[in-house]
Amino acid sequence: MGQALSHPQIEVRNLHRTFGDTHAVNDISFEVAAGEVLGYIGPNGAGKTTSMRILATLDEPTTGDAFIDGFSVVEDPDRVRRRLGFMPDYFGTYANVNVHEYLDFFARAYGLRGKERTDAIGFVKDFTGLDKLEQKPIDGLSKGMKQRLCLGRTMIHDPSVMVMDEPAAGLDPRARIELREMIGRLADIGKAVLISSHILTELAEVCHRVAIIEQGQLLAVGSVDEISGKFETQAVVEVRFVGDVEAAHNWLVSRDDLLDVRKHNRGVAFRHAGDETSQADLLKQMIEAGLQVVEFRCQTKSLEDVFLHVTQGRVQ
Amino acid sequence: MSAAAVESDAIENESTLSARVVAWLQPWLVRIEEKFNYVGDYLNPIVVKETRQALKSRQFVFTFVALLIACWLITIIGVAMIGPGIYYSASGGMLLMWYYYVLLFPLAVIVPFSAFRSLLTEKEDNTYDLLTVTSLSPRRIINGKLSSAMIQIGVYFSAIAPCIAFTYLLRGIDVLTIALLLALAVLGSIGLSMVGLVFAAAAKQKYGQTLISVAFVTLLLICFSMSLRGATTFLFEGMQFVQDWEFWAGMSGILTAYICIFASSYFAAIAMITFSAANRSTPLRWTMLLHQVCWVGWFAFAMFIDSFDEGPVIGFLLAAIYWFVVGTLLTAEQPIMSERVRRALPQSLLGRVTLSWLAPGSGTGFGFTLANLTTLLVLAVPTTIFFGDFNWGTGRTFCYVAAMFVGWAYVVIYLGLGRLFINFLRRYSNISLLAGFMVSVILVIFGTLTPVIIQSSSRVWQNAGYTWLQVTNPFWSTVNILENRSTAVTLWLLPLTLGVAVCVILLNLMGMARELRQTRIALPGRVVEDEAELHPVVEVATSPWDQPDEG
Repeated sequence: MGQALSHPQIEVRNLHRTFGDTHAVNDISFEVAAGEVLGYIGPNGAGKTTSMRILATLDEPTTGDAFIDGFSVVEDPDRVRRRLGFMPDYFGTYANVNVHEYLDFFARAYGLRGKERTDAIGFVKDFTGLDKLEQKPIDGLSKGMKQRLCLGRTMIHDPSVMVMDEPAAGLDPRARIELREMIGRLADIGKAVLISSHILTELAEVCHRVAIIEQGQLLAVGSVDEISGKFETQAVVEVRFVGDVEAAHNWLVSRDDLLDVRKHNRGVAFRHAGDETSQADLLKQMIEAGLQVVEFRCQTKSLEDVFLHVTQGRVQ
Repeated sequence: MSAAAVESDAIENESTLSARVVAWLQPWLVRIEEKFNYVGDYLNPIVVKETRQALKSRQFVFTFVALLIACWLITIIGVAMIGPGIYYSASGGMLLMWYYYVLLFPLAVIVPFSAFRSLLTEKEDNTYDLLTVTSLSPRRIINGKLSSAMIQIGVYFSAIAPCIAFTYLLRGIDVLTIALLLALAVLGSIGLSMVGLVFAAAAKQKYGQTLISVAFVTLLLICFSMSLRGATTFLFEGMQFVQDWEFWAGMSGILTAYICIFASSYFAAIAMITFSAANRSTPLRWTMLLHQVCWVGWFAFAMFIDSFDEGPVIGFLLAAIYWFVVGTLLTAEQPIMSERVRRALPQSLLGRVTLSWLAPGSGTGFGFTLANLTTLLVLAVPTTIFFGDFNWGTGRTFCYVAAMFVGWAYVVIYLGLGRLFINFLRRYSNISLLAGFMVSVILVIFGTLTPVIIQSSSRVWQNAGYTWLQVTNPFWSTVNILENRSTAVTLWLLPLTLGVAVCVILLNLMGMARELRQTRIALPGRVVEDEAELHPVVEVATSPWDQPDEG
């Protein structure tokens, strides 16, 4: 794994999955590189879980294929499983089993033996902060702790790819922050992470890129800025002045390259179609025109804005 | 020296001694623990997990304690009832019967049901998906579940073992009988656990799981009551036959049937939880071949012992029904081979000729069934002629031979037409294995019942017996020939069914050829890399020139 990989860690190629008349996944393609976190977002019933289950080899595509570390999920699911950690949106715990026994079972199930298994369990307990609860029965764990345990189980065999379906669902704010930090650390150690969540603010902070899916179709893939740039060609700029705002407003209205110019608190807001260079030119011209600019701010789109803009709330 | 000082010295010496013993034992204990850990590493993870779970579960503790209490009660009440006769009477058989009844309940009901629930609960509690995405193969999952059941059997046995030994001391029962009874109980329990795992693997939907649970519990209770009756009969009436070779021949026959059913159930359970690109069919086809060999072997043995001339025809017709049932499953398989299966297809001419029929696919399935049934026909017809007096067109032997040919033809016709119909439907819809199986079965039911209904509702033919209308009815037609009711009918039905069967084979030939023409494909580059990483080839020097340079 030390050498540079010639293939993406996750590669989805023209994936289709139908259930009767319902096209749950419709021609989806994307890639995730090592060390990258891709947020997979979409409304309920969009096909996120179905496509994640296909990646986890728990379901089969009607047509198309997906590859984990270069192995087909259809033809070589056994090889895929050795490289993949899948965290579904449910816990899946056993009765009469404590934290250590649970992790030990999955370590054995992944073929870890002797010291290798002991070290893996130790690392996972340390990583997830479960070391003090190792003898506690799983039934007695809080939801946040169970989620940590599931994350531990997912990474017990040191997979190069992790697929997480709604890992932050039902967690309190502290647990969410901790989970976000853990995911960030996973990416730092070179794992490719595909993560779905409804909590977009959480995703925005941890994901390098996002893929937006609706009605089984992939609407956009890229960083939040790239996607918002694709769908929104004009940036909203807010400028604050010292002194005569009216004069500044008139100066801006007189320009042809600005749209929707309006007064805004102690400043003026307008839409500008140019890139960052032309924004810098505009600022320079304003100063040369004698306007006393104290703040020049281009509004950035949040992931929520992008999501609402891209999706239409359709369900199937 | 005071008494207190002496006592203090003694205590000190004693503690020093125990410390010495502990110190001497410590490295041994550590070594033993290391050995256990090492062995534990190679145990099936499911066995380790389920043993841990079982030791903490109330159900297991309750059953185990209840078994012990029942054994104590039987011992106390039994000894009290026998009274002084315990010194001279042969009362071991009676007590063994009661202990056996107590043992049979956990072995025939609790253990198989636990195995069934163990796999089903994985599905209900959403842990099955987690288990599936691990490196555990379907075979290891089934092995693990079955081994857990066997461990439970061992624990129940250990509880009852002293009581069984006690019955031997009471006389009236020999070691052979005890061993035979216990062996039957163990094999029965393992077999039922295997069936339970097949049932659990087959239960996919919630409503199906409930239905299957009820059906399985009913089956277990029936088996339990049958085994109670069987054990009683054997203990009080069957023991006298233990000396006879027929008894052991019968037991061997039962054991052969057990092995055949167990092997089928084992591979069926594995196939049901294996991903679809894998080869799920070939192991099952091997077990079908095993069935065929055992069937032929036992019939040959029966013919050798008692040369009854109906033997081959009965054997063939029963086997034809078997091959129709398994043939419907084989011909309902998808006609497309996955790339994964194609990577392992035989390459040599001999391999392709002999082993291609074992590769998955509906065409190869039809060919495999046809080949097996024809082999049986080739064996059964000369045997019938050899043991009977064959006269062309007349006589019992002719009827037996004709019935076998007609039986062969009907199986070929219905399987072949079923296969063609399923493949036609597959152009418009996704037909699963079960749906395909149902299509073939419905086709036979339609072909059988339709003429019967038409004939029974017609005033002209109502009482006419067998008529040409029944030509699609395989059962009436075969029985009609077998019973030699009408030579005329036999003489037109035989060429007609054989002619249609040959036509159906020709119609299926293209599909069979398409599947048989498939050749091995190369492993993908990434798989080759992975294989090299997993199983690195160690270069071995084969000549002096291969030795590394020492200079």
